[in-house]
Amino acid sequence: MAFEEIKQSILEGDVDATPGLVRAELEAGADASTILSDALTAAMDEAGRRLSTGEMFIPEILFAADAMKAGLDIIKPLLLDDAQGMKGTVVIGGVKGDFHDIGKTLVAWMLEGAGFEVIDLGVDVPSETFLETAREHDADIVAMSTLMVTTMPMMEVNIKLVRAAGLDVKFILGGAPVSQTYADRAGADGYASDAPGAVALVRELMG
Amino acid sequence: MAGSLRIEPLTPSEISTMYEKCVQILTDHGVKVDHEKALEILGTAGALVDRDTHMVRFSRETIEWALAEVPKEVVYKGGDAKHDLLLPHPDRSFHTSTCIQSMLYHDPAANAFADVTHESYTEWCRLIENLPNIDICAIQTPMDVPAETADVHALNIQLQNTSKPLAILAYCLESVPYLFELLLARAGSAEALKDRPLAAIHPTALSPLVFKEMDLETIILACRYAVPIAPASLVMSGGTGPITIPGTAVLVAAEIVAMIVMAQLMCPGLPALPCVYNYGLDMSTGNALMTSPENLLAQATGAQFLKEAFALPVWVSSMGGDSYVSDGQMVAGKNLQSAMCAMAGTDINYGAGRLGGSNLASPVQLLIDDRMVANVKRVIAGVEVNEDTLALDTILTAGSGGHYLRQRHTRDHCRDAVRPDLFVADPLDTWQEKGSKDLYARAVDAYEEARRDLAPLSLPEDVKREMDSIVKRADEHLVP
Repeated sequence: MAFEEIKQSILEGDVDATPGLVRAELEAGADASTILSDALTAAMDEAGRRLSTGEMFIPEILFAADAMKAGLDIIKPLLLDDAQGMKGTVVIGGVKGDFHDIGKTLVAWMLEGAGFEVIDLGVDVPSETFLETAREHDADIVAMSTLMVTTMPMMEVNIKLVRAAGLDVKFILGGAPVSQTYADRAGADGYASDAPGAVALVRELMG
Repeated sequence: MAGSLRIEPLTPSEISTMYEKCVQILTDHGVKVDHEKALEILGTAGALVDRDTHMVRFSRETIEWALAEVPKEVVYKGGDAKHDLLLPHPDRSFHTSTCIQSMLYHDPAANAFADVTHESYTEWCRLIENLPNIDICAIQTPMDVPAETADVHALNIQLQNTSKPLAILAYCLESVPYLFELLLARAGSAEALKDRPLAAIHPTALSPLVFKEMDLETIILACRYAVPIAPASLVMSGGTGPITIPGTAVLVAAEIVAMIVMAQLMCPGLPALPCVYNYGLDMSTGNALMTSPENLLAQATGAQFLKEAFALPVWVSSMGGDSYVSDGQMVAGKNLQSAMCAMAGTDINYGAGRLGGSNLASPVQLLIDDRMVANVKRVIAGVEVNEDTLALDTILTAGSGGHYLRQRHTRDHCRDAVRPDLFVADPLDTWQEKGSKDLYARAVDAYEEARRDLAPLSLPEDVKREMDSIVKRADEHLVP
């Protein structure tokens, strides 16, 4: 029942109330990993479902993600003590030459809301920065976006660069001109046409 | 500016001139009335009646007295108060009526037209009951019942399957009393019917300037039972009316005002909802066109003229079409026409579900029109400017290069926008995954979904029995 309250608070995007509800559960004896899986992640799963059915809109999802993160901040130290960290690490950025930000940022926010560690490199990201950041953070996924056909080839360049360096990392692509066909040709592991699709894809690739 | 957007095809001076022409037609020429009893009533009440020619003229004083008597505000009531319609629309928006008298429905499964039947019209009425933007259920023509009593059967179907306000009309003189008997049976008593008339009934001019026996009988009985009339003029520009737009509008108004004056002479205070249903005659083919540019403008002009010259709620045929399928031409025409007429002052947009011509309809088109109405209503509502909508604080908070998706202001307003499901575009990949369906195909899916959730009204058994017995009696008396 209390987990339901946390979920409801997150779905309502209540950043102020969610930490208190999480704290109360911890004090009542619930363990952090259960709160993470059964309340925080479950709430964002439900938010993702509602987004896909049109029951929730993007701004509401982002407020839900903020509320989820506010709750996560309470349990994060306990999760680390238990060696139960985040679900995985995603390095995300817009490729060199492209300055479009909002779609990429939306994906980053939603991945954070879904419980992933996200390193957002911003836009106009040089190839070497993708490589170095992925290596430094032992990334599981590198997510790249572009809104311009002219900068699309950078995606393939980046994939080849990182793979040549021997990193065990998966690539996902997105952005208006990108397609599954292009993603296959560029050697990526996946493609998503929107933010909820990107979250689902990352989950799938993380097994 | 907040409130309803407006277009004004006519200036106040032009409206004044047209009003005078309209009055002149009724004072100098008059109208032909083919109903002996009505001639007697009208003569006694002050109209100038020639019993030999059946011509009836009205003095300016009588016309203006009648126009003063007719209510300027009307509550158009159906079977359930939750569907009551305030006229004029309180938000300067509009209500929506389905099309009338269809004899053929387009069957999406067979991709062919099929006779309207008792069963398919029943489904149509139940669909209307559930559609959020369709407010008025108009009578149609079931073809599997006797032709002589099709209107009686149809009204019985309406009354048993939707609680929304009805638009009805008689198909012949003899059936008129049965329509009122059905309304009376459904209401329970004369007083109850007076309080909640369930329908508005159309008397219709036989343009130009003739009124059939059936239509006068309709007015007489509407007066007796206090059922609002919806006097309709179907002038066809270039055929049964002038080819020019102002001339069409003047003739339409003259026919409608004649019916209003006759009704007020018989029953002062009877609500009347003028119906501008004119068409344009295609001078090449002889076909009657609804959404030619000329007719779009004619309808909008008629709407503004009736609304402003006579200060009455106006009902305009503004969702017709000239295509015979739910294609791009159909949607383009309906969209433009309904928006233009609404902006010209229409209180009821008529024709949802209509395909081309005067007797084709489509339940799939009805669903498309339902969503289209939501779009048009939003557009004509205009723009509200205040501190909140100016959003200066939010602009300063987001700053240079910031995002607005995560701003509280965005969240608070993210549901303001109208998003009719059939018109919202998915990303390309999603659209392809869903089968690359066009508007019509999506509407077919929506129709199949909608028809799974239909039910008759819950009416007392004795009321249903009484209504069925009236239909049976009509069949016995009117069918050879």
